Amino acid sequence: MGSLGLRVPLGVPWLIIALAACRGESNRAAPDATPLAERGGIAVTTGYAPEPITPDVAAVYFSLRNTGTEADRLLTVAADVAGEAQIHAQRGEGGMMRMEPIAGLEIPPGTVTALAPGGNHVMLMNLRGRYAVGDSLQVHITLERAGQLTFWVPVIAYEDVEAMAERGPP
Amino acid sequence: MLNPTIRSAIVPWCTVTLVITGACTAPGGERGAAPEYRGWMLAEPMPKPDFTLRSTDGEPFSFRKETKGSVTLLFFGYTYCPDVCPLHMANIAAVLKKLPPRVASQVKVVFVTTDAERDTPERLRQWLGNFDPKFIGLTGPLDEVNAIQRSIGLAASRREEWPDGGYGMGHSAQVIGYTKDDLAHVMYPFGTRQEDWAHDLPRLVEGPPSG
Repeated sequence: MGSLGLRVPLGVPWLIIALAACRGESNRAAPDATPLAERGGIAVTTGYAPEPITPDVAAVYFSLRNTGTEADRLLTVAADVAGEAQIHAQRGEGGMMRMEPIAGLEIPPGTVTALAPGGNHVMLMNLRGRYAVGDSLQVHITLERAGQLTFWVPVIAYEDVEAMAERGPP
Repeated sequence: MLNPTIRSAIVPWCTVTLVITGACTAPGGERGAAPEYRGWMLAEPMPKPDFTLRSTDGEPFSFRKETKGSVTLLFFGYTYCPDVCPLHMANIAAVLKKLPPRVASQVKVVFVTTDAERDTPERLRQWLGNFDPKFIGLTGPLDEVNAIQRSIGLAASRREEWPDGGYGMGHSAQVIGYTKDDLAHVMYPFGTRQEDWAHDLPRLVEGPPSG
């Protein structure tokens, strides 16, 4: 599994503890929560990936807190497990949900921007292998100002996504 | 009841196609009597649409006939959707597994693909099987599927071409809930939580809403 970047890092128990401190609204992590990664005024406050149902598409969710005073912009996302990762906007329009790739996502200062279920999210395609509940995925993101951040997200079941989105890990 | 992020995402479209009374009431209701359902009550009950599409075993499936007298949850989506569709299906499946079998066995879940081009019967069967092997999958040409959606007040699905050559299918995100009277009294937007399903499914099985 190592070639796919699918392993449970030694830091997972600590990660779980850190995430547990994020209980609360999905887009508002507790200020004292230990971020999954932090650099240049951007902190990854939470992250998780549902176990894919099919071998070709999957989603990753995470939240970015901009602790700086200027806007930043999420430019790219990559995951070792996927040949391609796209930032997708999801909007409700005319009675339907529309999902489409976007070139980047603004991360305004002083806010937490959530890539969350039913909203903006990352869609993984061309998966290089299967991964399952209990694995962790390595995710790399690039921001215009903050540069590159790398972090691990736990793989959870789709049925556990709502609890994770609302309250953090069980 | 709904996560604020999700609620803000659904508000623009949930108000568009169907006239809805009631609201996303807090569990137990903060004012007056507890609401009978946590889904959104329709102002006018809607009859089951009469259509026939192909099921994943290749046989024609007459929706009205095959689900007659059964509590039925109807949803339109596609398997390349990584977000709304699997979340709805996973939440419903998780709750059905926890409900007493005599309740769960009375609920039929029908998933109609809006992407028959990619959702072959085999793929759809496998996808649904991941949630619950009993979930029924139907495929048919998009114009037929859209006619069905329009007939029950849902927006028609639309193919959205992406710059990389891929595509997504815009689709309505409500699950329509039919009771044993073969009428829809309630619909469930994206963001309906497992505890809401656990609250409502036994009540849908008990019978149509009173009054």
